[in-house]
Amino acid sequence: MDVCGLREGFRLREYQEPIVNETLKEFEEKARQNVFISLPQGTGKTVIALAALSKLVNDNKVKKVLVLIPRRVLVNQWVDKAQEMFYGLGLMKNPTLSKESVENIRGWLKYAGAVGIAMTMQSFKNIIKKEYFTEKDFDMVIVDEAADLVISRDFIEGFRMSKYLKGLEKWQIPKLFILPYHVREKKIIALIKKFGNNSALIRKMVLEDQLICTVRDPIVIDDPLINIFVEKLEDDYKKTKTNVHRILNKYGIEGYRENIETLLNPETLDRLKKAYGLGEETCQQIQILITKYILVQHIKKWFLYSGRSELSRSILSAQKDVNNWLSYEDKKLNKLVEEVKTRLNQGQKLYIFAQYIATAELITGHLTEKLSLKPRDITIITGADEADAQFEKLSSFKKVGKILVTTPVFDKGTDIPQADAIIVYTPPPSTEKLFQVIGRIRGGEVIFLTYKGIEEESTNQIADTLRKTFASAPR
Amino acid sequence: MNIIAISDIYSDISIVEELTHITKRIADGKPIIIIAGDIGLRTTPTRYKQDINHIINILSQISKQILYIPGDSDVKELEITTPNAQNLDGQNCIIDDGNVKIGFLGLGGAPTHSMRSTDLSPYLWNESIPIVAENLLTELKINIEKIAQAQPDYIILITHSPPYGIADRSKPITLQEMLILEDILEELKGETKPETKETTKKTTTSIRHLGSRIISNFVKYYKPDVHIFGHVHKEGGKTETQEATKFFNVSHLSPLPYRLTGRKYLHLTINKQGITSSFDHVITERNILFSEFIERYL
Repeated sequence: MDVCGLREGFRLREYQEPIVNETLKEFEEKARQNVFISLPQGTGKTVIALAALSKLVNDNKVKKVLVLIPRRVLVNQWVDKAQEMFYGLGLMKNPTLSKESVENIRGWLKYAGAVGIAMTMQSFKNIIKKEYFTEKDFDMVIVDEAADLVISRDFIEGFRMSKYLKGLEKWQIPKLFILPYHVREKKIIALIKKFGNNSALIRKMVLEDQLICTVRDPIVIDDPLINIFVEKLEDDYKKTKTNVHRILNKYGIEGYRENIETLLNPETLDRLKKAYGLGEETCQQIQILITKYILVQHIKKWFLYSGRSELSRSILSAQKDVNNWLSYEDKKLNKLVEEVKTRLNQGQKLYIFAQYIATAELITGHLTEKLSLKPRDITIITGADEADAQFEKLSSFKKVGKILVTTPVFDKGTDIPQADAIIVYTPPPSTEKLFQVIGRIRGGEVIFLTYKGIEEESTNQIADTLRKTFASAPR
Repeated sequence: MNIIAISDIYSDISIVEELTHITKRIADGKPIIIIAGDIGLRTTPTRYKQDINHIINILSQISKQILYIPGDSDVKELEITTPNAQNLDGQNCIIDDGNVKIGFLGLGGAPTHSMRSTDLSPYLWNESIPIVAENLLTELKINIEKIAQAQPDYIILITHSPPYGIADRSKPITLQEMLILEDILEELKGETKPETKETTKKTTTSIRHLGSRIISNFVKYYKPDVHIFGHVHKEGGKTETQEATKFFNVSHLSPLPYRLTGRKYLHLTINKQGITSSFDHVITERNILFSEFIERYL
């Protein structure tokens, strides 16, 4: 008799079963040490991992598993999902680890029927450092949201293991990595490289009908002054970046082109000084240029994403045109109000995405005021909220809320309640991030707000990419 | 009564000179100038003393009286010799211009938790130590009681640190970074840099409230009419009103820490009927093109 499996009333989706079988084949028949599963948001990657684990436990291949997850709240969600859908897959959540408690935990694992431990990646770093557990204590490791396992900030090594999971690549036991589909290929290759040749990648673009979103034509806002300001800032931004690149080229420094801000870190500059013989004066020049580069980016965001209060506090408000622009109401915010009002009248539940906390707060305040919303109608969740508060707010939105305004706080694996539409107020910085955001609503409409001219082309491109992805996805 | 409030000058003489040009336009005679701390930057002791005296001298020419407090980057005992300048740290005073009577009280320095490193900040206090917190609170209470006896029309509290929870959200401040980032380094060439490595105390760097709980408790119960503070540059220029108190973060005069939000000062006009306030720029050229403006001021 199986010791674990799906509970009554639960079954795998049609496309999940073959992925589970493929995963098991890689581990069992091909004796792979590492299997990477890369699937789109909302396709139940966690359930696939749990189903594979369940089979391995039943086949007596795995007795104790270690599950590593980026954040504490996600650990709770992961373990709860395991218990809700599967019998016999009890996991210890975030056990308090100390020299004294480790023996107790080993005892519980042995005698209390738990199949393993789920913990954050930060905890993993600690257990490795303090040698509380080693790979001998487990038969398998599952890493959820594994895209951050490698980071690309190191100019010498290129992709580098995350400091939290450093050491995991040396473990010889089977490891299952789960990551979103839209992680850049370069990153996936780097990830596999870190874990050696005995690895397999299962990467599929599957989408269920209910996950397909309808991408509407972006709502275009006409504000000529914005174009003037942003074009000038873009110009400055490019010039400054070129000047930094020129210095990097002069010294033959590779890397940092994508994230030149990292050069502001004194430790990074110290390394550059040693590795490339950069002088103090050059370092100062780099820092001054990057400071300007950062300031220009900030100002651009303020103009594009309604940072009027910041702009009015800045020196820019001393400039005639900016002062003129500040004197009228924000056109983008007003367009948002119109769109939200129409959709609320149709009884829709909405999800509004903003990249920055300040923008999310601004949107919430503005909608509340203009549409006379009650506090329970609109929920704002940002990184400024404690994890517990985030989940209470989500629950409140699910039960009584009409609008959920969030920043990328949920971009990693959190299940958020279904909505009829997502309004993207601030475009996410990358396609990968965009899919993480869109994937959260599970179907519905996607609406972008964009300024005519400066943003229009790029927003149309994003919308087209989304449409093509949804159209080409196998069901 | 006209009041100009500034803080966080960091020895930036040129910005003070720019301020004098613009404040000359203020009608109704010379204003009272309030400086809520961080007047100088202790690069070298000699240079520091020269800087703060120079700044106060310039400002004294355009003001009736200067009320100042030291900030975390200043020394507690500032040696300023200008006759119409008064150190309000742990002190109080009453100014009556015949139309309105205002009581002022002050508290200098900043809480240790607001700084990422302690070097370059000689005036910090640790409010998590009960006796320190109690002394600071008692000092404030004694001063407000003294003022209240004179029955002023308004009471203005001047501190360097914001109260906890009001215009105080930022990463812990680091003057070291400011020094690294800005052109000030050019001026410092050849001078002895302060020893920092041994004294640097690292703290966490996430965005959080950096204000003082002692000050917020005091304001909550004693309700001054106006509270002027600086220190948290990121929130410079923010105004809030809570219950009876108007709060002003004036930490953005100097363009040094944040070029973008710098060059601004608070102008208060106070009479028996009420208080009006506005933040304004020291920038006089307002009719130039946006592109030119960016080139010149960024």
